[in-house]
Amino acid sequence: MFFCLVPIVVLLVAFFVLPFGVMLYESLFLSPLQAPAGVSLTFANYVKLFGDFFYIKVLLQTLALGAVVTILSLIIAYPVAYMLARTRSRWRQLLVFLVISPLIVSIVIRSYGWMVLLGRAGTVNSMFVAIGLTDHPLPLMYNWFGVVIALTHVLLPYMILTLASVIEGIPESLEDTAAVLGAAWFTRFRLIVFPLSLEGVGSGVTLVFMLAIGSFVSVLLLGGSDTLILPLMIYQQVILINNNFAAALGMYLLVISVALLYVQRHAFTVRGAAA
Amino acid sequence: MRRLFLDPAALILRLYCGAVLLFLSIPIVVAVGVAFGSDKIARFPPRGLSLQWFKAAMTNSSFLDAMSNSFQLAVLATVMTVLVGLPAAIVLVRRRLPGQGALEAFLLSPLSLPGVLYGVAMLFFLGACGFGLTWWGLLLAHVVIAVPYVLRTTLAVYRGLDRGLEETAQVLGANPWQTFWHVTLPLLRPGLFAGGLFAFLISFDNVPVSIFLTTPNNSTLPVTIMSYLTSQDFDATIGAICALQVAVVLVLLYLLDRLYGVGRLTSFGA
Repeated sequence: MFFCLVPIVVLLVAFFVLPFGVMLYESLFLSPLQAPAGVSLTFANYVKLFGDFFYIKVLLQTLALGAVVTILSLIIAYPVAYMLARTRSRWRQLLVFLVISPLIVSIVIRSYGWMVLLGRAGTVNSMFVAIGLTDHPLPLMYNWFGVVIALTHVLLPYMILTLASVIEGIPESLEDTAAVLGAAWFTRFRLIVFPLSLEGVGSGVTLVFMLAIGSFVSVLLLGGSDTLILPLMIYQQVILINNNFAAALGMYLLVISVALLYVQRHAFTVRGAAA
Repeated sequence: MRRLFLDPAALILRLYCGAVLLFLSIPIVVAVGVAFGSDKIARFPPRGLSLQWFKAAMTNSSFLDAMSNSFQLAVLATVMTVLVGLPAAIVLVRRRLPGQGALEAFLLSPLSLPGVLYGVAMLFFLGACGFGLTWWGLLLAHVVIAVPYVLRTTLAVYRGLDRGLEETAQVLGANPWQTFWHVTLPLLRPGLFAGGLFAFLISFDNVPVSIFLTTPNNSTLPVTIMSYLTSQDFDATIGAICALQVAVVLVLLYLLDRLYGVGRLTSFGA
């Protein structure tokens, strides 16, 4: 019966694990353009990665973007997750549907929507001009602002669903008891709900951070020349046919992602949201 | 929650949730809405009303080619994913294996890594093997990223099944193959269907992996849209394609809800 496992294991070893092995191998050489004299095993790509301030800046930008998007998502998502977990309204199904459906619509489509909204002659700028908030269009995209908005939008459902699944497991009777004893809503939140949901917060935060630092489409479409993060730089290096350096960048992002994955698996028992 | 109606904090909470849900749906509504305008530039709310962008999209050969390529790719990837994922799910549920947890985590791992990483790794791999960028390489990559979805939904449905049904069939004299064909498979159908739909959508929508593995001759729809959006002033043609795609997704989502329950797609039970 175990032969049933053979196809999937072969598929993943040959076409998932092995490619990363090739990536590691490629990262240990210089491209023919850099080293016309001949190829030899070298850590030069990594030396460049850790030694050049430009690449350190890109790493810091990647982590900073991840941090900002994660914090924004957490703050925006928490009340919605609470509502979703606690409501017994007949609209509950609709609410769940509205949270999940963006996940299933292509990121390209969602980014296109933001481009129409945030462009120079876009909906938001036209509205601002019409009501006299500004007399010239504001730069809302092709910069960090656009990237943060679009990325927060993409990742918010993951945070909401992860938090909601944890909050749902906190007995409502605890809150009722506290309320009877005179605790106002903020006290109930501070002393009961939030501490008991910390595992979900940890799980959601690692999940969203991981997805944010690996994001590609939203950053490529809504970012500008200065919004360089690791995934985008990997793509740029491939376009420049600087494959070996791209491989080193890939190993760099791979190590960070696997470390975060390990934290998520082992530090928090609650699994993240799907899709 | 009874006190929700009396509490001003609860009212604020409701308004806030409404605002967030609006934020979540606005870009999608906008992307679809621009398709119905008559203006050259994509804008929302659209000026005038026309279906000309649908016509433009439907007569643009690069979009049509990409759409047909994406469709073929997604259909074949879905079939292969189910063929590879279903037997694995059955063994994982039926047998106790040494290191089962680690094996399952490994088989689901393509879910967890950034797509760009896998795309670039596969690019090097195909280059190193001497295959170069072919349609089959792209297909293989799509199968790899989609297979965890089929595996996960099938595992979830199978674990929820009553073992007694299969045992009863065997007691009544069905051989293992008959048991599988007449009892197990029909019971697994919702999970397989949901997983298959997911596999289809993952393949059809993928950008970060496909962008490294496509050539101008075998570009997929989302990659074509991406290059269109990054290279020129975008008009409303893209909006029409978005509208069509969202319509398809809504139908699929409805089917998924009927067969499997949308809430079960997440760890958050509905």
